[in-house]
Amino acid sequence: MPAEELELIQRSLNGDLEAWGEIVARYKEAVFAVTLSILRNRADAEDATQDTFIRAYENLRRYDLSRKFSTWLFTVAANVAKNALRKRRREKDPPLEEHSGDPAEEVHADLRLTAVRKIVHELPQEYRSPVFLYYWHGLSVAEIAEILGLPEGTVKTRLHRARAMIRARLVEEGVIPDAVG
Amino acid sequence: MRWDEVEELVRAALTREVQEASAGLAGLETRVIQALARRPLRRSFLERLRAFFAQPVPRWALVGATCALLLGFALGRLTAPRPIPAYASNLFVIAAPGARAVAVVGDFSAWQPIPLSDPDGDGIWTAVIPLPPGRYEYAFLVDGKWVGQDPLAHEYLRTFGEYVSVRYVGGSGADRSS
Amino acid sequence: MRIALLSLVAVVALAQPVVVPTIPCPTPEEVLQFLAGMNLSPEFRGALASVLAAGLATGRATPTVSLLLLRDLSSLPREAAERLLEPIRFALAQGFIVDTGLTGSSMMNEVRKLLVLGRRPEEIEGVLKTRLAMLLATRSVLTRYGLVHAPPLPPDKPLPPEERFVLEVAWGVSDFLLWEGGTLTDPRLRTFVQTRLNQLCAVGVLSAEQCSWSATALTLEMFQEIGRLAFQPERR
Repeated sequence: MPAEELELIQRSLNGDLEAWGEIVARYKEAVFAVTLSILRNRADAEDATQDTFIRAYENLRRYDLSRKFSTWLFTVAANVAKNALRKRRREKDPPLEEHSGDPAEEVHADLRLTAVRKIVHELPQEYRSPVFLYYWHGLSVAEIAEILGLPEGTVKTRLHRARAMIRARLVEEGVIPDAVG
Repeated sequence: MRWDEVEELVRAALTREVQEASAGLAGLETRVIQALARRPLRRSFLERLRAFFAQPVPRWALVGATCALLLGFALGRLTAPRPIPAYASNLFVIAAPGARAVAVVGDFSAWQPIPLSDPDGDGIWTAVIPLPPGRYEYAFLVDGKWVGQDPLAHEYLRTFGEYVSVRYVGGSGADRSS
Repeated sequence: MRIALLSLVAVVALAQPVVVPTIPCPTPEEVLQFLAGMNLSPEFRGALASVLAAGLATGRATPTVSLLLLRDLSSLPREAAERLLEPIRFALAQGFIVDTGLTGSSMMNEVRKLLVLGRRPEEIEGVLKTRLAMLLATRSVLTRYGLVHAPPLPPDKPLPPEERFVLEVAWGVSDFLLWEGGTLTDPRLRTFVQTRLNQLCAVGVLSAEQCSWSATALTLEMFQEIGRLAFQPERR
């Protein structure tokens, strides 16, 4: 961990909220990507991101300084988002956002990107989170397993299946030929 | 189209999705700080315990607690096994018949003597010391004389010719060998 | 409920002859106040006070052991006390842990042990200088091999977790050379240090990452290099 970040955490532990604000600024987008991957709804993901930083601050004393801070923070984020998802399911509130095409994108006619976006957006949640953490956050299988609380084998399987689904859908939509190199 | 190109597209698609959706994150730092500053102070376990014991105690409760204390004491004395088993957690025990004073010194006490006791006078001196996980060097002092070889130690060191015992204590606070 | 709690405490407390060590738990201010009253040269006292205050605030030293040590040393002649405190001051200024509190061996606790053993100040000073040289050499070698990433931080900066690993490796190598009668060419050196680190992993003193370094990355050559550097500081 960079010394500067360690100092921010240490200051936060001593009650310095400005230092915690700096941590929020550094990690908000990455945390948002975690919550968005699980909740698939912008408003819910924003709320979960805010809750994540509040819960992480309240539990900062439990963070083991020898562990990677981002992994710990993403674990908190995944738990907050999963709880929100459970609550949403209990309340039978279905606001999954439809994937809306970006007009600018369509103008540029990058049909392949549009198709991939739609397919990734529609992946089942258990596949979407590992895909986000692997491709967007650039994390290892071991880190993803720790964050999502899954065995490494399960993460590997889900990534493999997610890739197969994306490939099948791309073939189905005629974006790529049957065989992909 | 190669698979690595598809993977690039996946990355680009995710980046676009996050970028588009993350407009609402502006000013999140301020919102988090405000929420944390406004939240009711959460009392620590110690503070809650203090508050719990600060409540007025009725007289019958004091009498009951004293009885329980005496009962506990009596039970403890009656059920204390003799001889003390060697596997008890963090038990420091040494046979020193006829000794007047026995103590243990070690890292856990910053090398200050902690007295051992021999209430039944059988020459077996004991102390049970709760210890957090760690590696501890220690020795006994029998009537002021250094006794560095404890049979229950995991290893020994020789410091300037004197033995020092070493014990490793595991996560639960108990002696790892027990 | 309170009665149940008290009964439980009573049964647990009295079922066996429990002795809970009554170690005083002073505040850092008390330690510094005691230091201010010690018979030391003003320059040395000032230099020690500044690094000790920083070390106490960041966990490189603890008030309990520091105060007991200063009390011990206050009964020694001024020059002897300064000679024993100088390696500790230097180690603190370099950001090393000099005191792990009541849960392990470190420079401050070692002085207390050697005083209880009745060793002379000159002998204790020799041990402290060896420990200091080992700490410096260990950090240097582990950094070179990429096992320690953080640059040495002054004592007022937060303590990087790697410093505990540096301390334990340095202590293992120096225990082998100081107390086991071992030499740098003795192949038992690796087994000795490795066994020590494995035990520390088993009881959770070292982190999982440090345990994995300890199991896979440390070699006899690294320990020998630490020893050589410690005894030939010009190579450091």
